[in-house]
Amino acid sequence: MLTFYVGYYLDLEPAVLLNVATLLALVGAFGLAMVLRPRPAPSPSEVADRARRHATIVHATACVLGVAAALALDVLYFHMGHTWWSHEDTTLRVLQWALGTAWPLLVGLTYLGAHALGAWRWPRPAGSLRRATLVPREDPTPRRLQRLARVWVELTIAALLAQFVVITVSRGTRALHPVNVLLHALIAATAVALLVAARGVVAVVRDRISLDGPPEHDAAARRLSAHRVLRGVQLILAATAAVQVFAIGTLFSGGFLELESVAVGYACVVLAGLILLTGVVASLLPARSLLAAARPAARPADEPAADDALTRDVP
Amino acid sequence: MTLAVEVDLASSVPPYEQIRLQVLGHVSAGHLRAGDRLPTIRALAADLGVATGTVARAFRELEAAGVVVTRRRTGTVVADGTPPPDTGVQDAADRLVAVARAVGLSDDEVLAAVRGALMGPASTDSAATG
Repeated sequence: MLTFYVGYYLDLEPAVLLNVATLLALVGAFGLAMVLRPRPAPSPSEVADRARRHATIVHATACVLGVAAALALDVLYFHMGHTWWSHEDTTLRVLQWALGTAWPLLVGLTYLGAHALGAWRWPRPAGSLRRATLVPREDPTPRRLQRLARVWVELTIAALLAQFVVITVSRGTRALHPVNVLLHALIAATAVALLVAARGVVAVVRDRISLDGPPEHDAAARRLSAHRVLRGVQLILAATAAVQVFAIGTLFSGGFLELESVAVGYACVVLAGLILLTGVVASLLPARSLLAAARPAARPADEPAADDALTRDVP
Repeated sequence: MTLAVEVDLASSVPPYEQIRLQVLGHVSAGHLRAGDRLPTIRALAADLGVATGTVARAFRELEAAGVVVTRRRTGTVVADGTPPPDTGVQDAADRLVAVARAVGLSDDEVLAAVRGALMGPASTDSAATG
């Protein structure tokens, strides 16, 4: 999203190149993390091993699809910008706005959709002998990540409202164009929708088929999947909030208002950078050893940590 | 111990009956106590890879027998009025299982032995006096 704003100040083609380079760097970083991750220990059973492979493939697919969607939408966005600029086509301009507004939601839904599909296609029990625990499932939601995601949405809404206040104080209510109001409402709605969708996918993870084995192992695997779901959303929601705070900064320092204040503008830009950085860190930090937290008693020293394989996370 | 149910699809006993008997067994053995929550019908059916109707029937029959109750907010829980297991009988059952495991009997063979005992003279005397 930041590249959208960069696009206003740079020529469009370099902006697209910058976009592609950023996304390729993300893909490269993910690939490197996958290569450098510690080798998993053998799983306790064939079913657990299949589930571990499935979870890894689902997460990798979700990341790749999310990045691909971001790349495709960005290219489409700038292409539409070029076209309406050269042909002065108002419809294309509105479509470009709509695409820019829906960008976080579309990328987020692609990522979440892959995770939801992965949970629905979780390895099913096979064979004539089936086993299931009678203990109800725990809620696997990682509380801190969920709170952080809510903070990003609240910050986005607050920043959008602050933009209205700043524009109104500086230019009066006549400066608030209905299209502008609608655009801001849509941005807030997409952030809220993404948060709701993420909670929905976590619910799908909670309800997915249990692994055959110790219940704490299954619970830890479920928490790991929920952690991955919310980690991906962190980056998108934080970027949305950062863009809106950045927009306040440009209002103050870009010469658009009579209330021009370069200091406030720079402060907003720095704050936007910090928000984005926090989002990146939150989305890259792997889950801590979930199974260790779930295991109630110490394991004998000579017993191998065979079931850590499924619950070890990668950045 | 792990609180679990096992369903053998190849068995002549219908899956819903296997589920019902095992939940009943856990309640009788005291592994499940009054107020303990059971998984949702959908979750248990998904985990076992059987139809939701199968688990629903087992739960419905357990509810009819007063073993569990289904509440809107808490789901299916073990009923309050479920009688506590007789410790003497439970101890005897535990010893029987231990002996059967030691000599290598299968579950079906143990159950056949119990059924045989139930049809034996001790059982008919008890029924006549009762």
